Amino acid sequence: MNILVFNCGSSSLNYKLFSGGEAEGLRVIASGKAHRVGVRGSEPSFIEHRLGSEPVRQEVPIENHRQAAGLALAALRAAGLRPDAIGHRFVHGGDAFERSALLDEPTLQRLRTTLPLAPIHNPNSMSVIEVCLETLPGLPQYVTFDTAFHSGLPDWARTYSLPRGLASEHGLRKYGFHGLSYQHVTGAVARYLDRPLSSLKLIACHLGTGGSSAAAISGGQSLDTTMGYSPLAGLVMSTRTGDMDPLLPVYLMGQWGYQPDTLNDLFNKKSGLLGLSGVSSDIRDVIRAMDEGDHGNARLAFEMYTYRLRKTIGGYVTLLRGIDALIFTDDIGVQNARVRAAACRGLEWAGIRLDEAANQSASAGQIAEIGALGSAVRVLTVPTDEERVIAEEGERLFTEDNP
Amino acid sequence: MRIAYDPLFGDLPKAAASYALPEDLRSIGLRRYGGDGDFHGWVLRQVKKLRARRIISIHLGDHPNYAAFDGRDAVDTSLGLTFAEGLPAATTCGSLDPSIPLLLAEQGMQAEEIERILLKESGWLALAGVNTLPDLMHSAAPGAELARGILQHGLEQGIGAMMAALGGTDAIVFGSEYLEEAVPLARAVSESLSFLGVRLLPEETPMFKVEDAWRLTTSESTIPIYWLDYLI
Repeated sequence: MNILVFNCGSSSLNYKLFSGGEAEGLRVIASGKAHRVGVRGSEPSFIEHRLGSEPVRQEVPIENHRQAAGLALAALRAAGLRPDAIGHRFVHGGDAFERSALLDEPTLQRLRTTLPLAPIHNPNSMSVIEVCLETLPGLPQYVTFDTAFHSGLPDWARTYSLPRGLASEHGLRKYGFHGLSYQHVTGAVARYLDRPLSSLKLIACHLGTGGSSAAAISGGQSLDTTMGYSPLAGLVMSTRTGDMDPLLPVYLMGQWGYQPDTLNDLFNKKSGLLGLSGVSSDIRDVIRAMDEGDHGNARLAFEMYTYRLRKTIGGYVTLLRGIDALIFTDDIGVQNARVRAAACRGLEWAGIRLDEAANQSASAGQIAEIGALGSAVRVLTVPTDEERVIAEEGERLFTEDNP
Repeated sequence: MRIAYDPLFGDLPKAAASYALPEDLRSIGLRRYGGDGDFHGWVLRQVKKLRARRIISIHLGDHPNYAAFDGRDAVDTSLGLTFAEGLPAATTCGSLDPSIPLLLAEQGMQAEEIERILLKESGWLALAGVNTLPDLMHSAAPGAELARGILQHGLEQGIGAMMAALGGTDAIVFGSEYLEEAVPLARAVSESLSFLGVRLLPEETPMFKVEDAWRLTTSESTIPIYWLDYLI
């Protein structure tokens, strides 16, 4: 069975065609990525296909995700590759979805109710579903959700202490995100350690170039996570503030006359590493500026980014009452030794000690062990693979009995 | 809005005191000021003779909050720009996704109304209909168990976060004006640290006084935990 997976970013579209049902598991037989989707700038948008031995680059204006998906489907058809099913990623499933679902009319209707919850991401994913329905009518499709991994959060973790009527009217609770990534890395770590996931207490830090979050995971279940109702909460990110005093935005609106949409833009796109450093949203640029002698804002940006992460790890260690492994994943997590070293500093009491050399030399492409010899906690870098989880969810859905 | 400079937290390290905002917003005084300095300053004086360097001070009152000290220097605290940040309390919401106040404003609520809800109509009052710690600990109201769970887990997580900030701890000090209700809470939170080698005295054993503090832990405990009667 060939499963085609679409993964929408805010200005990109990834696709991967997996061949499944074989003894060695899922194998990628084709893939591609559309860049600068819907971005008007000096550089052109393009889509790259890996369908055979040579990658093919198609430079065309790509207005939206619908068009990008159309280009992907056309390229696969031209190469004679036909999927048997298509899987999609939705960032926010809200209360409507606690797990992956086959796409039928009721699912479509429920999906439409989730669009306002992630106004940047969910409508893009919906448009890709629509183009698949038009181009390949009758082909089975299904949807997966970044929030599903956290659907079992305990009440004490998911509840905001707000008036109950207000909370239920607006669905105000902690949903959590990056669930497909957490599902992948926790499974991979259990296999690597050769222990059942149900016996492991883990902290996973998903440090991306866009969003970052951490999760406390006990026996495969999410116990707490840093993102909340939206992906703005929690850690300091590239351009997002993460947590702040809840009255701070109220103060800016009431005393300084800021409009909510201005603040949304400010907190999501102009804060975090970018706002603190005044240099860049890229942690590598921030580190460079700090090393070149900027002892002001770039240093503050790096220290806040890693300090908040360190405090989160410490807090999750006590919540879990000790951990078996600490996981770093996604681009910054697997690539940036400086971030990992600073994040683990001062956590010896929790059994976390890094091996400096192993941390420096960790390869980004595979699981690497970076804990010191004798460190009670295994410290690991683990590359994530959201598309593979989406394909695995499809295999599961299609082999289960679905009444 | 309660924004008050608290001298005890005036020199918080910048990484703890700042919000991840652009410089023009940080420069108008949007930072974490901390608070409840009367309590924490009193704790530091009470435990001086214990010669502990890295201290986590926890106030189990109607506005529970905690702070970390290295010697006399405040390193971090749960309170922020205002008393709304940190642990949910009697009527305040505690830390929230900052999108939430923005969403309420987009729905047409005025800033004053949002402020009133987050400061006066949230916290234990919203979940359990009570607004003091003793009432919360005794309440059988629906939602009281949830509010107690949020408080206890928030304290457990807070201790780990403060230990990360300090690189470990030499003493954890609980204090409250509510002896009867807060001691069991302090014990329950301390119990969760047994994985670190914390050993509590049995409940029936009377606490023994060390200098001016009551000790909750045995002499084998890796971290000593103390109780102080906060008599204002």
